[in-house]
Amino acid sequence: MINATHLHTSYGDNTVLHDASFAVEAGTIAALIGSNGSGKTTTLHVLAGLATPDAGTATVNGVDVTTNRTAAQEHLAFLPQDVRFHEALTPRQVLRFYAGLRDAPPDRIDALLETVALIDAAEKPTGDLSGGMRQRLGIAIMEMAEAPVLLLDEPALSLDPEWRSFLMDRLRAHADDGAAVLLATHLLDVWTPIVDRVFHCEEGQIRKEDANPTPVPEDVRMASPS
Amino acid sequence: MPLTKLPTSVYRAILRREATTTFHNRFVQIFAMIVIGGSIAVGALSGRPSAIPFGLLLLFLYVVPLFGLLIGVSAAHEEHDERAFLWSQPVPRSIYVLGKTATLVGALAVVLLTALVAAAVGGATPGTLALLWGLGVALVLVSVSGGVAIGQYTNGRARGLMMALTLWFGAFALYDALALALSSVEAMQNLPVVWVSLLLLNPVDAVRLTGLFGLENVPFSAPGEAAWMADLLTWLPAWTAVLTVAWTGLLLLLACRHLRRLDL
Repeated sequence: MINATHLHTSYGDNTVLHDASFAVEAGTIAALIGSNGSGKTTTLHVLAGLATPDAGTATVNGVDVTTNRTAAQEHLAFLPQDVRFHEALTPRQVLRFYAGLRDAPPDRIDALLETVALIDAAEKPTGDLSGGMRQRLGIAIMEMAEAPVLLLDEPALSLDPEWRSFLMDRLRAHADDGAAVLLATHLLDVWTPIVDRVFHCEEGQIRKEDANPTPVPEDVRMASPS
Repeated sequence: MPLTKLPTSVYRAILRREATTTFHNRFVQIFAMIVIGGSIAVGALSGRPSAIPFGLLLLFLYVVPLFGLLIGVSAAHEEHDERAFLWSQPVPRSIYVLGKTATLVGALAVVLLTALVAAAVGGATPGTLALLWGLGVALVLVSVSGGVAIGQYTNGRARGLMMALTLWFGAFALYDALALALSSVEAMQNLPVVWVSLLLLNPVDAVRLTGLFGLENVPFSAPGEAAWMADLLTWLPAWTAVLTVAWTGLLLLLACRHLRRLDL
């Protein structure tokens, strides 16, 4: 589903990705972990078609992002770290816009707003929403895409424990339905309950790969998600 | 993916979004107030009804290029924070530039239309109104495209606005000052083609000349070797249209090309 092969990216003299390779299969939730500047976000940006690598290939659901960006993006949804929208637009307008871009049926908008508990704020400008509410709107956009590949950059940062748990459940459900999920984080402890695979990112390389980090029983996770 | 193969829902979504954000754009609101207020002032203070179209032409020349640039830059920067979301959608990035430009041009063209009420009340002919509106829209097309292009090339909003102001000053004042200085050089006086060409390559000057000759409704005449200029100026409206299309196309091409290659 997600394949990165010998990715190399640099900005001037600063090498951000150096021969990074990994794969995430369908039905798997994988985490890219590493400190700030280790190349996690750049890796996600390459996979989402937001950045072009100097060398290497990145495929999403079998489509090469580097050579066929738009076609590959039909198979993925990306949730950025800092979720922002045009401040004058309301959540309903934002969702309707992204539904239009995906040619998705607009009758799902209200249901999605209900799901992320934004129905009461549906007509408020997004500039007036908190970071957590914007993040939930981002999750709704991601859900709208119904994509087989989900890419998330530090998705827990603005969410409270309740919504973190909600997101974990949603990601697990998507993976169980056959999606490949890749999230970048430096908070592995938060995500340990649901991830199947961990890639350790250091200085732009995948140094180590762990399968099945210690699973946490669901009742424990629900009681103490963070 | 070619733009023509996109579902119609994409175009509808982009135009709806841009219409909403254009309505909230402060520069658009100020532009509308200045143009409508200015046209009322022109109508009230012109003295003779026949002078109103000239006043409106001056108003357009002073206000449209400046605000077109500022509006283009500010509109482009309004979506910078959302780029990660926008650019990860399965549509070419150029659709955002083209949708934004089309919507802004449409909105400003409507504002210019309201400004023509003053000339219509003053008894201007439909031909005069059409000429004024066409010239105003030409300025809108070039300046908004320029602003949107600057918005793609600059990271900070303040830097973008400064660049827009610099470009406006250059195109509006510095360029003419340079042409004037050149015309005082004796060698250049024998080469009118150089400074006429200079004027006719700048959209602001081309609109100014087209407007003045069109409103005066007198044929240009020049003696001797410069007689060819009379032929050229006969085709001035067509030339201005071609120049507008060329500048607009070039600026949008630069913006789209830059955006296609830009990495987050």
